[in-house]
Amino acid sequence: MVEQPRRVVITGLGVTSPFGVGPAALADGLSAGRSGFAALDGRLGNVPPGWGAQLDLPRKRFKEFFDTRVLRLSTMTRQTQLGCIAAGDLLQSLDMVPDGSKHPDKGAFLGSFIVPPDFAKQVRAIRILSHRPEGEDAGFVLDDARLAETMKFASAFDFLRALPNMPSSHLSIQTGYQGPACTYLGSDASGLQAVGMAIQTIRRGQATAMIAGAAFSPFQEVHLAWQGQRGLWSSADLPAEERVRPYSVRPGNLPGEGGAVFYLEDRDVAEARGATILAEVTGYGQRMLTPSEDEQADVRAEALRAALPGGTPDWVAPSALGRPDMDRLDAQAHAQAFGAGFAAVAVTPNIGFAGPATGPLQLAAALLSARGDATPVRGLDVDVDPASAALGDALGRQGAVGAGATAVASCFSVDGVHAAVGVRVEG
Amino acid sequence: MTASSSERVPVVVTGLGMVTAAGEGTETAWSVLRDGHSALGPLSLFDPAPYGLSIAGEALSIAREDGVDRALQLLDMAADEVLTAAGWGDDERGGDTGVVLGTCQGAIEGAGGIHRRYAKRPVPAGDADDRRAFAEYRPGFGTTRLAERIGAEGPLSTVGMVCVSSSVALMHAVDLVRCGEARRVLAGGFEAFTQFVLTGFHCIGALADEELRPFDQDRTGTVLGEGAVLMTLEREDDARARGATILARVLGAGVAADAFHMTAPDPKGGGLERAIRQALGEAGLGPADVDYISAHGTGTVFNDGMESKAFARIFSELAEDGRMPPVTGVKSVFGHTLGAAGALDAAMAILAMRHEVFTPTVAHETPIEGLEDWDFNPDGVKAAKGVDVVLSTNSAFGGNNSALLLQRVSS
Repeated sequence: MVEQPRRVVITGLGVTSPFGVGPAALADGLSAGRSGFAALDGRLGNVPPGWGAQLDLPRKRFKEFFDTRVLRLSTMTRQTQLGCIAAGDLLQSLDMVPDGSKHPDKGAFLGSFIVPPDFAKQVRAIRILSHRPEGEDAGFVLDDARLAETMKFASAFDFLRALPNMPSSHLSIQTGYQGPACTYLGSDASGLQAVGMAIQTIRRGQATAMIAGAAFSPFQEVHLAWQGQRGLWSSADLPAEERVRPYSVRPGNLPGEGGAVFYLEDRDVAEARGATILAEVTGYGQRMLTPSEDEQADVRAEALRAALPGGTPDWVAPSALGRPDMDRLDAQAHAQAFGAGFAAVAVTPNIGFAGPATGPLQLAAALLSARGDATPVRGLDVDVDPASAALGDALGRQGAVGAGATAVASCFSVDGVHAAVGVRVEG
Repeated sequence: MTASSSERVPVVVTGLGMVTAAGEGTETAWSVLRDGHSALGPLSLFDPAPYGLSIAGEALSIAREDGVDRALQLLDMAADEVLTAAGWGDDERGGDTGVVLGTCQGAIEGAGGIHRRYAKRPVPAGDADDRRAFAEYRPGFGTTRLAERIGAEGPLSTVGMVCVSSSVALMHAVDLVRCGEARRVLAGGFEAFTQFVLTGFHCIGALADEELRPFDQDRTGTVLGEGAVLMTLEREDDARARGATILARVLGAGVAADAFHMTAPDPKGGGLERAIRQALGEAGLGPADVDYISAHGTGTVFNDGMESKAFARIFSELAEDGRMPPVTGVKSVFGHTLGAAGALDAAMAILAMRHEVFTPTVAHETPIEGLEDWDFNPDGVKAAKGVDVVLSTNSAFGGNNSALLLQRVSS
């Protein structure tokens, strides 16, 4: 007899965004149409685009969630901090603040990106002590001759905190989750991939609950430079709050930081403990993009359909990258998969593009919208790109809310991965 | 971490490809291990003086190609071999084929350059070389590059779990095939030897003074290596239908976290024990069914200590009866290859089963106190008729543990 896969539900949501900690802060910010952007200070201000959406991290709240005798925030990179605080807020909302007990049936999957700000911080001690100025305002160069002397000042934490597995490892250490823990690397889609893999893990009976999602901060010179070379940043001579308009005739995006994590549970386990079920997962789709230009929209559409088999969502939360070529493919894929009539929500006009965390933040926004907890007011106040109309016209539209409403969030990456997660709201 | 036995599709390994400190190719690596030699040698890629070290597991034989990251070159070479060995061609392209790779730092070689250039002011405008370096610096770049090369359009992911990266990648690959999300997956891991990682390990104090001595009472640390190790995994019925050579069957897998601390493993090896028991449970086997253990064996005080404690609890009854399966480690031959380590350990275990031998634990002299009765096989390769099931284990900083159970398949 073949066992049926377990049904997976979402029973909790944790968010860190430039609007603050918690899903309510994100919902309020989106509903009010607020902008999280500000001019970047210091060295970052000299790197295009010069603007971004940052969070004033409430470090003291970390103590509310976790035992700082085990690990302090200073042992984490900023993206790990953002993820742990989101997870802590999530667990606090579920009355599950870690108490030192261990949970071999629970795990943690997070999406990540190896580059920023880890690399610079990782070698901070060496960087500071081993570099010599290379002329006024010319920055610094690594002085290999001083390496031996200065390495003694670097601590184990300088290296360990930036290892790629640390976002999920920290989470498992802080929560006592001893089941599967994994950090998925890649780029923009790895956050939704982590959610998708966690869904699969519960479906197969390998865990009863998983915390999954991603957190990310792009505010490091090299990463901003890379994304700039990717053609992602807006150079428009406009106020920051008007710069990001995906699917419109106004190209470009701005960097943002934050994270979203979901408490995913085996439905039977959630019901047995009397949990409030926010939504049931309808599906997860992931496709590798074919090199064939003609088929790219088809492949994306396949991933979208797998997230909501046989259905048309009330809400979609697409990549909203703001790069016209990508936006057009995204719109074409959504039209192919779902036709028209859905409402779309995008966080990037408000809080920018947060790399692998964008997908989970979009899923959070879609879930909040479909539940009626958020009413995103931001439609396009500029002309829609006719080739992206399927999504451009849907921004600002209102979809069905409440029990039975469906949403599909998706993200594609330059790695060629397109990932999509679908949910159906419960009462 | 796979599906329940009632719904399990048999998954087999049909090809191996690798480049290691021993050189290019599986046969090269195997012959060095079989003969009990070490491929470790003088550190030559940069000045070792600041580290007080002299040896590393550099893949010195690779022919450098200008403009291509060292890690990607290793990956390309392993791919050349595994695709030929498995006989994958046009029939194995498309949406049924996935790629899952593990790595710690990915294609990081060019990253040092861009970090130095982009630390300057004003920020450079960037040129074609910068754009290439940025593109390669994405940790998933190697996975995408490999997928494009073989025309794989199915599931694709990159696992960043440091020393368990490639063993977890193999497990994901098995899951994808068992659950029907792919019919076949190219999986494994890759890692280049870099000053960046060496500096980190030096800061941790995890590097050996002289030799890497797995499970030795006088072990002082590990030696870093580099390499790429790939396997083709596919449904057994597919493999048999196309007449492929089946190297091994994957019986079970387990992954578990210590949830202990970022700098040290659970000293009791609790996470590793759970991972092994999960793998045994999934395979429907008991400890007595394990003929041979291919251990992580980094040569560090913490890892080998906790690993042996986990083994001691699981195999306690067998040990009391003098039937403890032999425990061997290969890192004293190839160095610790981080993102490639899990796949390398598993690959060597597969070859040992096929050649019906126990491989030696090179440089092991004195067992950890209390383990004097265990067989670490320090004296050279030994014949081992009837070795059917091998357990391959790995553990990582942050407390991640994995266990794979592999079975010999008679031709």
